[in-house]
Amino acid sequence: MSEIELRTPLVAVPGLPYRGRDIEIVEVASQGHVNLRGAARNAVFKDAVQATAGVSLPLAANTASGTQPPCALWLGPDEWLLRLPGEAQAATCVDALDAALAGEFFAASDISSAQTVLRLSGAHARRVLSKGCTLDLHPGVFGAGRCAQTNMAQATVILLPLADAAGGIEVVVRRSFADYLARWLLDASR
Amino acid sequence: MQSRRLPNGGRIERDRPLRFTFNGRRCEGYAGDTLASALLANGVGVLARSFKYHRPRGIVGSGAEEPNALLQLGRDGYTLPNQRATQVDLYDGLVAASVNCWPGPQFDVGAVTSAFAKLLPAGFYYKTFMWPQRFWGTYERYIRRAAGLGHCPREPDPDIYEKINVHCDVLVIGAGPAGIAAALAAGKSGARVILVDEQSEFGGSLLYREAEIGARSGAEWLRESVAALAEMAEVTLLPRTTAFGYYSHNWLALVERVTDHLSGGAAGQPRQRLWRVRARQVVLATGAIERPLVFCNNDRPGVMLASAVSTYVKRYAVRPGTRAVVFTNNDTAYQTALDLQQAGVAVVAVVDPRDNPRSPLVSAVRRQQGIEVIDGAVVHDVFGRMHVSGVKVAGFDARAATLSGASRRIDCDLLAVSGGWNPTVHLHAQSGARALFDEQRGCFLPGQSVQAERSAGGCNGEFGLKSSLDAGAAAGADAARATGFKPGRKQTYKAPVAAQAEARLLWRVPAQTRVSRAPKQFVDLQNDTSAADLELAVREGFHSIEHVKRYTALGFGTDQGKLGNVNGMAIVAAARGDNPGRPGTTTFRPAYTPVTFGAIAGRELGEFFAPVRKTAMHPWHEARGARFEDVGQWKRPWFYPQAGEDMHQAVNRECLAARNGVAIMDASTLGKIDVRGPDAAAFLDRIYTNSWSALAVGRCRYGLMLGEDGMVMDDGVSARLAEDRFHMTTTTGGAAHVLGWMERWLQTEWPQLRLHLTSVTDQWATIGVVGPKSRDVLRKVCSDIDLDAARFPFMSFREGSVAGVRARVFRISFSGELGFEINVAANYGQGVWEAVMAAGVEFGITPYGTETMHVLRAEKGFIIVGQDTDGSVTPVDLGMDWIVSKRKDFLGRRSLARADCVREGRKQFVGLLTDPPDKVLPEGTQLVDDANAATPVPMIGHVTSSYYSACLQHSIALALVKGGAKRMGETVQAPLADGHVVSATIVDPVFYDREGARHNV
Repeated sequence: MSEIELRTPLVAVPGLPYRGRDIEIVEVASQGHVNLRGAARNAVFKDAVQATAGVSLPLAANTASGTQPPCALWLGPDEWLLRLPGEAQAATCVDALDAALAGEFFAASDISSAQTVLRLSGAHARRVLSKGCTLDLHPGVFGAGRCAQTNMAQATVILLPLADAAGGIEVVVRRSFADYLARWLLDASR
Repeated sequence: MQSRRLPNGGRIERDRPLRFTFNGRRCEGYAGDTLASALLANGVGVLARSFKYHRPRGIVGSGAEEPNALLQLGRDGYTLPNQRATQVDLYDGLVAASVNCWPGPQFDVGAVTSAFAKLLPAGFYYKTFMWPQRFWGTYERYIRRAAGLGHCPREPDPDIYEKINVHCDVLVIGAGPAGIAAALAAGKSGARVILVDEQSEFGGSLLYREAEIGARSGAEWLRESVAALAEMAEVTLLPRTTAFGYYSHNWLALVERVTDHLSGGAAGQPRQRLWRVRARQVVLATGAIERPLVFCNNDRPGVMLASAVSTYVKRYAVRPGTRAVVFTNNDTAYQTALDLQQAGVAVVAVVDPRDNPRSPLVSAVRRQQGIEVIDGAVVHDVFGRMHVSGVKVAGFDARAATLSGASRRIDCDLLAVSGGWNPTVHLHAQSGARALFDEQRGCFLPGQSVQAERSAGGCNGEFGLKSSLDAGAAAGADAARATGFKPGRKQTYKAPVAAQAEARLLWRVPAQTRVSRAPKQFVDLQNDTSAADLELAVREGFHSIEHVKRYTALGFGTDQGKLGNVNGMAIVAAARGDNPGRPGTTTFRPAYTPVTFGAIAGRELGEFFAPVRKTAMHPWHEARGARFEDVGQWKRPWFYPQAGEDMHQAVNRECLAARNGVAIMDASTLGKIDVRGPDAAAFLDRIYTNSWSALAVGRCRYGLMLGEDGMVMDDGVSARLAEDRFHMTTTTGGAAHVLGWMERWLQTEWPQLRLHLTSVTDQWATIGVVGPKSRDVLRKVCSDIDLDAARFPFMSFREGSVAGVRARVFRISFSGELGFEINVAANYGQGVWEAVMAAGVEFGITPYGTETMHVLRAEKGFIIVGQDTDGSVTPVDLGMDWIVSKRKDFLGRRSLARADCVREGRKQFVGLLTDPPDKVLPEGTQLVDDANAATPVPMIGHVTSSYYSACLQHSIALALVKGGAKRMGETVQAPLADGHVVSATIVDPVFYDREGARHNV
């Protein structure tokens, strides 16, 4: 196994994790992220995902199969984000899918290093996010089970509402934008 | 010394005195005051000079309509120009100053223009300074200095502003009786409601008018209603918030003044907050603004709107005068007469152009001791220059629209005027609807709604309290119902309804002489536009109201004609011989009242102006002291200066390390796209100019992409990972565009092709190891890949591990040297980088940045798309015909056969060697054949890249030169901005190792 140290995208951002009044921001690092492409009507594909990752792919737009890994987020009619507990599982999952689906038309890409997750919780979490996002984040409209691809400030993100009572939300952001977005969110949480 | 403060009453907090200064004078007011009410309490009458004639001006209104009381607030970076004193909440330590006068409003040098007023008609500047045109710049400078309102801060704004996006079911704008009733009705149903009002307190007219609602007083009802709204979980109350813009899809912009009213702001809180609201339904309850009357010298300080006078007396407990005359064409101002009388101000007369108006209110005034109601009469002129000292009253012949009988003088120091009410239809009109003129009521009313909005109360012409409340409740309920809520039974309010006598429309009071000869009758106080100006404009052929506006400035300025526009339109109509509503309104544009740039910018400034993208190794580069360069949104190391080195020295050192030893660079920013599917190769054949289907698995190839116009769009090296899978790379700046471009073709034109595109740019950290000793370094950190030159040939890739981390290693070269690009999962990027650095110590491994990368590739004549190309360059122009397949179709191919693409004399890519050899030409330098030729000197090309090559010990440049490929060895001239002319010889663009021997080792 590797001796090389794993460095999450936000390891160097001062001020993280942040605990303010009614708002907490932490990086949920080193999870497994797999971008999955394939036909929803292809039973072989869906079954392989179910067998490998233990999730059934959501078919309704902007929904998620759960709020914690393992879960799958709908990104498009033929595209999902698989979230797995750790990056090792992502590598295993991709290898297993490649083996199980040889000859099928699909694609599974390990993007565990390509993105990270910021978890905002506390009563002010959604208000802070509303400063940078034009979607309706009211818990009655955007609750657990939903997900959305949108812009947060000037970064593209995926939002995943959590099931906690305070209405926390996880923000999936590309690695190269994570530093910018984390600083932006810290500023917005002042 | 609050000489004009009433001993009791009002909504001010007398136990919270506040100190402030006006033009250096110390004043005092109370919490709950506006700056305007505090200035009046301190007896300040003149606080501004008018825009054009520098006439003394005082406070006219009590809200957004105020045209005169524009003051400069605060100092230094905190200063704000042109703040309406009527909308500024007083705070302790406030510093206010007049704007358009010097040395002060009492004595103003600029007032000399008043003496020449006759020479300054409408369009004066257009007419006078038309000729000669080239002098306009000079004229403009002085004209602007003479006009000018406040001044902008010169320092950066020290305050913080923020934005927030919200959604709601019902947005209610205006928290007067109608708005509150609407919010209550909608809020009770459970709808998400936002109630906004621009004032510090909710209540609207209830704040200055006594009322009875049900069994309670208006004030009690207000208190209870606001408390009830505050209790509702889904209701948001936003006082001090102006809804200033109504855009499409029921998207509205509000600005909340969060800490403007606090002394010194509040730590950590933004000064203002911009609310961007998507409302499913909007209820406009914006009320109405009283209309002034147009008569001679109607701009004198002491002439005020009657509603403003009542507001100052009742809400702020301020006496705006000691001896008042009321001039009104309708009943509402009779209440002002009673308010003044009650406050101990002598009301000597109510002048009313109507003949014997009859209503309970008029009778109540007639019963008052000392108030003379003069009906069938008008105030047609005003005495006093710095302040009203009296008025001229004469009979009014309504049919002939002339004065009748003798004129008499009545002494007074306050003239309260009312010409009726203008519903505030601004937001309705901004929403795309058209306000319609109501001949009966003499005002513009909301027309057919275009978006999901409805108007209730004063802004809909419902001026009575009961009708406002009922209309508000109905509008709120209807809006909630329209969004799927059940508001329950229709609610009506109990409030007394008083009969009113009909108003007599009066757009302009006749003068004793012709309008053009008479003292000025101001229509638009802020722009000094008079009735005579409007009539002149019509005489000169400006008939459209939009043209009249631009010719006379009617309705321009910070108040956007809130007081003057309707009178002005009616006066224009009369001059045209039309009905008053016929000319229509000018366009109502956002913002309703001015919004600071700070609020519009929000936090998108400084480090948040644009995203900064960083690679996984960024912290290492920073620690190493790299200087960074912006490439797209990325920060890339530019060079790594060592102690005492300048950029030139650092780059020379880095270049020589790459050529002679080993060097390392961060190439993570290159775009990377996983292209996967049975048709992946066929797809790349269409995207790239060269062929990909024949590429063997495990091999890499350089590819060029063209736009549909045949021009070079992007390039990069891609590798075939498997029969059905490629690892594509793009330029750093082009990554997003290329992915979008390919998705567009795949999704819209070639949906039958079976492949998926996935961006993996952020997944891979890319470490370039370059130089003759690069293989030696790699051997130390990579044991499971055979690095032997023959078994790992140039332009191939291997999978294995580097420093124990799973890696894709590409043997490619952008420098011309032996080189490897190591791709590892970015989470391990910095760790692997450090491992390679450690392995390279014994070989003198040197990190290098983009500048050295540019020099190395320029020595090899490799292009950089976007630097050596500019969207007008074909592969043939670049001398890269070898990469353009003749045997297959690809995007852009057909355009390459266009006549323009094959003509002689196109600019072609060449190298330049300067004389003297150490002279580095600035990039962008134009090239000519003869710098001394007659102007315009024919230009034959330009320098695209230019560096000093330490390796060749010569300045080298790349250039696009007309017909350059056939001009090898010829000399061109490069005239520089400093007047020097440098000669350069056209050469082949490959300066170094033409045979490619160095990377093939």
